[in-house]
Amino acid sequence: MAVVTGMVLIGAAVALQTTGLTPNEISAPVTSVGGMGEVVDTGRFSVRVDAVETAKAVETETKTVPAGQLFLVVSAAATSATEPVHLDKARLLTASGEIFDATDKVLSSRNLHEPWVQPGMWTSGYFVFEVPASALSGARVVMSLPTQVIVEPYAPEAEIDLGLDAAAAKRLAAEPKDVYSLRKPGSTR
Amino acid sequence: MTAPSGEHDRPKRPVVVPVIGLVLATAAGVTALLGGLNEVPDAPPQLAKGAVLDQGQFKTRFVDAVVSTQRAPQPAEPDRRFLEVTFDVTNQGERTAAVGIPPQRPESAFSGTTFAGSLVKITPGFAPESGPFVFALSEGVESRQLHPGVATTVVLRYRLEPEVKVPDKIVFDVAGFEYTAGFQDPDLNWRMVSTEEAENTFVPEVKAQVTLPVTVREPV
Repeated sequence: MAVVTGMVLIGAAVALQTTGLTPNEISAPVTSVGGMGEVVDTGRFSVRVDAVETAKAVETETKTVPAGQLFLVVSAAATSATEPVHLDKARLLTASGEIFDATDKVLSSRNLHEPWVQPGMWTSGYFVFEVPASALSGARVVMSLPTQVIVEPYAPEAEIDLGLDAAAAKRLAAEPKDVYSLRKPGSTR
Repeated sequence: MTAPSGEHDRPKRPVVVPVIGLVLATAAGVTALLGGLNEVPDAPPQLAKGAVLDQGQFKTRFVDAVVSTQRAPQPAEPDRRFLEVTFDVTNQGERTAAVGIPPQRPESAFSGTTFAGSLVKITPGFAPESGPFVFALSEGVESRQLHPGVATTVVLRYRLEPEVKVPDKIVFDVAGFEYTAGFQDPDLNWRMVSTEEAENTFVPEVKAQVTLPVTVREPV
């Protein structure tokens, strides 16, 4: 009996090893998830994604930038729990596990990583990604705080499913706006 | 009467053979210890214009190297000349990578984590104020990003001073990357393939040496 119990325990210990985390998983942030229009609260900051559109070009305060692939414009809003924070540039996580950083082509003060995000009020802005059409279906947008010099374990991040099923992704890919304007309505150059 | 056992009847043991064997084994061991049996590094493969190199994280086509001249806005000023090397780079990794710049000092080249960081040696060298400036280009818009799975045109540009002679060729020593844990950092990431030549001295492994002829485009 004791032998059998021992064998079972050893087997269980070996099996448990396979559930161990990889170094990448150990140092991964703590993710709060949500969907379109939902307020996703990470404890430190909250975000909400209001709309998602595609465009062949994006107009900023200074110029119109044409896309090499396709611009995906995510309109979002953020607020902070206790202290003013800046959001980091967002990332787009595709269904196949690829990670696209927000594009560096679109320089605008209306990118949501530019303004201070304050407690008690919502700051709205945009994240612009440049992606191939194949990346749209099932994509999620990930927002976090900028990395500090002293690396923080279990940093908060919000992951929002853009709700793009195959049909919605196909429609977004087939009918991009010619120009999406990030300029404030009524403002002149 | 019995003869005293052994000694006289037994044939003498052959001592010389095991001794020679031992000596040979020791010699081989010492040679192996001192690195004498290590594989001699082959000369890196030589690639020419238009060749495609799989660098692990990137798949790179070496398109061409062209010197172009831009007419000066004022007749009194000298024309500006640029040496532009074009690459077609596909990021084979899972996340956006940086275009980067070639290493400033050879001793830190092994720590490169960007595309241009893998161009560990460029011959001939140019004055530091000539560049190089490296950027991705699509639809006339510059970027510093290489997105996953997307083939991107990357331009490496030197601004040639008037007194600099145009070289007839430019040679790149190109390193590769592997997805692995770091020396101090256990996280898996794309890191340059390098070997430890001496303690704490790492040298990138040259995956290929690419020679591009420099063509001169006449000013228009």
